[in-house]
Amino acid sequence: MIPATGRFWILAALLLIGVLVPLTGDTFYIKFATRIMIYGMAAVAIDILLGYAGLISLGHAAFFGIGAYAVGMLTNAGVVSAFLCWPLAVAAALLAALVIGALSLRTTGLYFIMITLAFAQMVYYVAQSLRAYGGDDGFSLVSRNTFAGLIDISGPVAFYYVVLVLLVAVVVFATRAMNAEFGVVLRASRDNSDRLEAVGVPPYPYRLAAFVISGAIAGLAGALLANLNQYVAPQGMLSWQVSAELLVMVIFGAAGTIIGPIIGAAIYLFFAEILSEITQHWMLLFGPLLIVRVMLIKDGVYAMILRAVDR
Amino acid sequence: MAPALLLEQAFNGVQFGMMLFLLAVGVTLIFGIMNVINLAHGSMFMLGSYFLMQWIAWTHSYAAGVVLALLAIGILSLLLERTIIRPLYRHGHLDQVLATFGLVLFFNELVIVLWGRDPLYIAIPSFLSGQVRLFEGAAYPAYRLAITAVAVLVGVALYLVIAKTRLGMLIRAGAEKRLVVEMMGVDISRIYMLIFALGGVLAGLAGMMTGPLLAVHSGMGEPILVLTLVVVIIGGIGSIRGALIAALLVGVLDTFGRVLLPVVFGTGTGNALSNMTVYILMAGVLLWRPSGLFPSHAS
Amino acid sequence: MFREQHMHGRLCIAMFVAGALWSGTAAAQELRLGLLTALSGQLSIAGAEQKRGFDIAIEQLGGKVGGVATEIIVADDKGDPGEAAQAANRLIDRDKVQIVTGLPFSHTMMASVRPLLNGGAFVVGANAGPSTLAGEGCHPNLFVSSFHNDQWDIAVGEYMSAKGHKRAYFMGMDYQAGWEHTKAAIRGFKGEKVAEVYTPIKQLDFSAELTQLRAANPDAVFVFYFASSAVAFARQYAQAGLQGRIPLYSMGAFSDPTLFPAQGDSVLGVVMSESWNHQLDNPANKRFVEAYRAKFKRDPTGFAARQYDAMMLIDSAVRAVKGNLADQDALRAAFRKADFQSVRGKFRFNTNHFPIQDIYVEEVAKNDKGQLYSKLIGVAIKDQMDPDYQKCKMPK
Repeated sequence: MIPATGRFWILAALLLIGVLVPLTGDTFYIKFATRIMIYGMAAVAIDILLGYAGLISLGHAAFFGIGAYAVGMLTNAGVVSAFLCWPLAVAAALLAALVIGALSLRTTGLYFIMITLAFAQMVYYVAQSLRAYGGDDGFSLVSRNTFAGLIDISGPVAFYYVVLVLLVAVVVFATRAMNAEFGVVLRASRDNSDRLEAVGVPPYPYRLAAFVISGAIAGLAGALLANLNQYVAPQGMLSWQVSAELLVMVIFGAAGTIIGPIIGAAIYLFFAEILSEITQHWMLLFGPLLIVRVMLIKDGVYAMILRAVDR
Repeated sequence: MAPALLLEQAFNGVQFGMMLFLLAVGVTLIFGIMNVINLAHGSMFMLGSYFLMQWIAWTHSYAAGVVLALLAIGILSLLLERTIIRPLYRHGHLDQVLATFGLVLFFNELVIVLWGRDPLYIAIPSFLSGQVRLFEGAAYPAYRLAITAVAVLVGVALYLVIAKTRLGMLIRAGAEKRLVVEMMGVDISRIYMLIFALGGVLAGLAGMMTGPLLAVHSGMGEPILVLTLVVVIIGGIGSIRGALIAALLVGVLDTFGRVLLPVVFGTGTGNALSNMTVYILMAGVLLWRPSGLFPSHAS
Repeated sequence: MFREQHMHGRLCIAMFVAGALWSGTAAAQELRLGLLTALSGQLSIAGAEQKRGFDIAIEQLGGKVGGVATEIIVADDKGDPGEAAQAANRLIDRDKVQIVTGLPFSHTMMASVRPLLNGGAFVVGANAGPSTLAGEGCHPNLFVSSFHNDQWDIAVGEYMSAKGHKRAYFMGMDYQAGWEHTKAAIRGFKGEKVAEVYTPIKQLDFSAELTQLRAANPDAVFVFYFASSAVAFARQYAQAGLQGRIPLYSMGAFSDPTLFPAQGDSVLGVVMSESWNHQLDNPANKRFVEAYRAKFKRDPTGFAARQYDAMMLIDSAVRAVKGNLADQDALRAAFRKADFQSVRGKFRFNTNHFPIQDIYVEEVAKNDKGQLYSKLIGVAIKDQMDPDYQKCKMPK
């Protein structure tokens, strides 16, 4: 049964906020909240790898971008149905994650970080070279995807709720997976992989599975972002800065909590929005903020909230 | 390709490789010995350019500008080590990546605030602004020859210091057996400070030398930083020899890739492939030798 | 055009405007004007210049564009298409703008134009002129008062042939606009194309490419580079001993007063095509150049001049409808008329809302004070129409 702990109430509150946002009627805020949810989903993907498997990937932008490009290419080719596009986008990202993960996980530590970066850069350059799809400029989608007339996501409110439902589904799935044996083994592989091997459990298949799941979720987020912006381009989706930004979101929120990264995404995007209103040079403030968070503040915001509530 | 052209392109590759080497040495030492990932290395490269430009503007002398800029970068590196890098020794790699990423963002914006957005200009000293007739049919820019020579000299000097001096021995020892060095009564934190400052100065030097060729602008360090990390990985973390060989390999391959691949594969595919050359090389090396070509024996 | 509105404190003003628009009253109203340009990021020089031209225009108009109280919203697309799309959405959803100008670059323009037009705003492009928008992608509410991306390059290509060059080497940046510009120059050139090389956008070290170029020994070189890459290329071209040996041609973005300090003498002798030059002899241009020089202590660039022109165009259109922006048909007719004093002298729109204009040739030279300037040396093509206007099927 659902325990009535502090965590439960926080989640309930978040869900309530999530459901009520569109009632403000302000298109700008609704679209902004949708963006937060989409990046939050991508951050959850990173968290599975970072918070649970202890793997730092600087290349997840690749799967994010592959999901987005898949949707963009299919939609402009006439395959407008979300029932086809979105699963295909996720499948594409999943396949890429399988190949890249299988190769990258043969290395560890800094080498792993670098090889994931290398693969992401390769995807970036391939996307840049696609003349039919605008190269470095990218291209716009002729329309958002459709649901065979059942739901019309061309308006902000309907799209918001679709994203919300998908985000909740991802969170439930991820939480279940991490609480199950799979998650336990994953965390063991992060904390002490030698001991794990000593008891006869090889970490590699579990890590690969985590990498693939993480890539697939990132791909779904990418597919949603393509729909939100109705525009796909290498710079905003495939560059290594995007991978770094996702890591920042996870850290701001609290790694290893699934919910934390979503809050981290909200914090990051809020800062970017508010700070950039104050000054053009908002990075001057944001850089040190990041440093302070990393060096002085032990936990992400969500962890702090949990501690305060569980008191 | 005519032999003269081939040779000249090889020169281009070596020049590029030597610049990468200056940057890679710092990164490989800092990571190999201090176990710290420093993304702000590219910022030192950028600031080297900006400082040189500013000192030349104030002193009207290229030589004075170089000396003063090197000093400024050295002091900045020491300050950074003291305040931000030192606490990060105890943190994990993720924290180091993120904190130094924060530094990158900060410095990129700082130079815009101080010097504006327009790309800026560093004059090449007039005695270096001509061409040198290397051999028949190849007039190579004198300046590029000069900076390659400087980088080679620095490399030789580094080798002599590391291999032949007491300090060098301590550095090598610190790389392999930190605890033992500490127990011998050597203040390891002093050594770290020195290494970090050295890395910063080398990066700044590379920036100063490359500045007059390119345009000095915010973010000019990032593309170079990524390539530098690739070089370090290929060469093996902690190995200066690996950094040199990998840097030259990357420099030459990248240069030839840029001119040959578009000819063979056409502009679209060719350009994409030439951009990816270095990464394909790195992935290949890692899959064959997961710790790089010349891994040091650091734990 | 009906947009859903709900009560929200700080949107009261917008609601008032929206309600007034809906009811279609003919009273003089507030103009909400958006300037969407690159204020940060690598391409921000252009954005900063557009803002300068914009500011001069606003000053001269006394803060009232078209004689109507004007609220100005400045938005930063950061030189990135994703950000541009978001900024465009913000301008429509949050700021409820009616007219948007700026749009310095093709890729950000392509990303932002759709949300802006879908949101019912008029778009007056003051710089980039992507060929899609001149052809199949044309739109009744979209006016590009600057140029068609290909215009200057075709002009320069033809000029190179007119100068007697038989073998030319072509280089450009490896992205959409780069391909378009370079291929357009190749189309204009009648001689032999020795090579067509594209370099990565971020690349600033051209040593390898210059080595190849020198080995090929062409009669002339055309390049499409701007901002930092133009600085780097000009410097390295001179360092490789090619300046003065092989004539270098480009279009107006390669060198201008913002880049002269960084390029220095290395850019002397470069010949470029432009649809405007500060030496053009007409009253509007004199007024603009003097005001710019007084305020910013140097000569203006084409970016500033074109944004200034776009502002005067907007002013003339809003004035013609007496501030009644709700009447989109009247506003469109007023824009089409283009009844304003352009700094380019004569100006008119083609059927696809792109300009028909003269393309000039300028050369970088030194004045008697030893300073670099863009010397007007002639006209490449008169009354040039863009190559895509017949593909535009816009309802009249």
